[in-house]
Amino acid sequence: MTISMNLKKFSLQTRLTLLVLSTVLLFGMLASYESYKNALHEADEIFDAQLAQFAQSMVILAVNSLDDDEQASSMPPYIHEHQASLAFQVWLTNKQPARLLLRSNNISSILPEQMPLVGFSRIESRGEHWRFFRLRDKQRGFDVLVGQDSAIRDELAQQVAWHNITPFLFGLPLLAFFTVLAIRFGLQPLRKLTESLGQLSPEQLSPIAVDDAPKEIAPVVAALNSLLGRISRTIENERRFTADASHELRTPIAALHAQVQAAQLSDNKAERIECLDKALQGANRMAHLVGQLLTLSRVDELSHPISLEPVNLIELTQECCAEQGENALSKNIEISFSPEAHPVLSGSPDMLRIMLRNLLDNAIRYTPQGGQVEVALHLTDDGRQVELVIEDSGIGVTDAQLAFLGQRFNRINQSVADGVGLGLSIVQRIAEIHRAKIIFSHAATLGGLSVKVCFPLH
Amino acid sequence: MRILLVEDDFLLGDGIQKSLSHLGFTVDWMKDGEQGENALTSEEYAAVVLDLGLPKQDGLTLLQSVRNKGLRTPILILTARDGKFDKLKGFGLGADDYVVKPLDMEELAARLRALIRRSAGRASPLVRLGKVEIDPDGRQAWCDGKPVDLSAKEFAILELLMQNAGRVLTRAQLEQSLYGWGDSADSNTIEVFIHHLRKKLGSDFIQTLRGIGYTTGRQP
Repeated sequence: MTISMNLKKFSLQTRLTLLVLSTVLLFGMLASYESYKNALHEADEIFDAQLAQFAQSMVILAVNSLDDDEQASSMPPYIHEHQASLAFQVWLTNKQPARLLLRSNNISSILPEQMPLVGFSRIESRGEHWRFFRLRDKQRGFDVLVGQDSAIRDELAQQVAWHNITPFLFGLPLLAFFTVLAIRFGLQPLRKLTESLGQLSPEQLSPIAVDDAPKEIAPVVAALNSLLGRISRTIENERRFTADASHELRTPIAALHAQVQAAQLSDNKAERIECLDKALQGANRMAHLVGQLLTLSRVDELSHPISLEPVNLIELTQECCAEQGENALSKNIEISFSPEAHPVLSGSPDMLRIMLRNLLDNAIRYTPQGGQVEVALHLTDDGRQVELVIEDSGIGVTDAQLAFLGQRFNRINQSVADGVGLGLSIVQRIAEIHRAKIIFSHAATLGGLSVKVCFPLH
Repeated sequence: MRILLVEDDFLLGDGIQKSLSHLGFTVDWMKDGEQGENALTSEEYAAVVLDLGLPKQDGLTLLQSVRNKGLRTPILILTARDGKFDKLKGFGLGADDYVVKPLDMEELAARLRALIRRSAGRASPLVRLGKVEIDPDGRQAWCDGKPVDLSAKEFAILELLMQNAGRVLTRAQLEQSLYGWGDSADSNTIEVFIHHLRKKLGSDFIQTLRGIGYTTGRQP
């Protein structure tokens, strides 16, 4: 648990290196231990086989050189130091009493009090461990005992076993070194990806080359590229919007400034009052623009309504029309609402109110004195959509201008009314959030602009 | 001095027209690019204040078009577009100054006077002719080194006559320069102003060519 927690802090490379090396080390140790044990066992077997061979050779030797009266003769002195670790004795047992035929010089000093049993045995006598092999040939009457010092056997066996595993132990650091190199090489595509990601900045969001990425990384690069594309489009929009917004704020500020200065420079009271009046108009226009900008940035941030509620579209439209009543009356515009359906939508009443307010405000703004604004609400023939239509008898737009409606800060007919060019953008955004579609067209009967909002019914 | 303002924003155009007229200019105000170009090719202006985002014809198109026709009038671009590229393009098409909104009206007036002065080939803001000296930027006049108190219209006429020393200006030319298209003047207003000027500067400074106009032509 703690290891895996700690591993998370390391780089992928360190992580892989540590995991691979510890696995190799663990299995290397196990393999070495097994190999060592096997080597010891094999050496033991070989020594035992030698002992048995030795005993049989003694029997053959004794048969061939049997001399009835000969007493056991003593052996010549050792030629090799390890000879002291071998001992043997041969008895002739077919006549009573048994007769000692042959024995090594050291056998009396190591022979245990009780004779070892027939076959292999390990016996401790006088502080030393010996391995004995006793062979009894009853037919020919021989009893042969051969023994070997265990300490020597073990030492030799250990040497053999160590020789067996040393190449592996020496190879471990080399293995570690090449493992690190291999992992570094294997992770190179990741490093390249990191480098190219590091070079990105909000100003420079070029897509990353996907051709040379291995197939595990290619989907990541593709996903990143698609994200980068979306981010750079968002940044571009933001940038354009900020530029447009600052541009749009400059003219009203300049107008305010110019009117106030004109009032200061004038020595005529009536003119001063007129200028200050216009300065107030300018301030109102700026307040409207800032309000619209804030609304737009608020609806821009959302991808769906914060709270979905059932909205009675008829009541909402009536409220909004009533709100605009004073506005319409002051221009002597007749505003009417004819609902033909009673749909209940799921949406945000606050946002839908902003949308209706903007549509009605636009219609009244661009309709001359004594004109008409008609609002209608009905279901489509297939009953799957509800359509809210707002038409006016205003100047309308040309076919070419229809395409530009809803673009930010796009003001058509600036000379007719002083809109700020954000209303339809706000309307479109709120429609998008409600999955509704907006269709601009020429109003067939009234002659002005017709705006149709199609809400899907669930 | 009569200048042309081409600006589509009603409140801004109105404010500039009023402020500049208080600062000694006569301002004709056109609200779209086409009207602006027509006025510029048919009337004579001392300078032009030109907005860029205009209905019917963009300000830069207007600029290019009148410069191609050989118009030498100083043109000041007044716009909300503050990008370097926009500025370079404006100057490249023949603008004499480029000012970003919003700006101070007195600064705008000073810039216009400087442009007009340069286009008349003068470096010093002061204009001297005989015993009379005027400062068009400071709107002050001196006669024999002593300050003379003049009304705005009186100063405008004196300035125009001194800027055009040696030339005869008709009464219609003086009226046009003093009043924009909207204003109307009594037929003898110019004579009243000339009378006042003669009382303050001496009767021999401005000469009358009966039936033709006025000049400051022959100075002792």
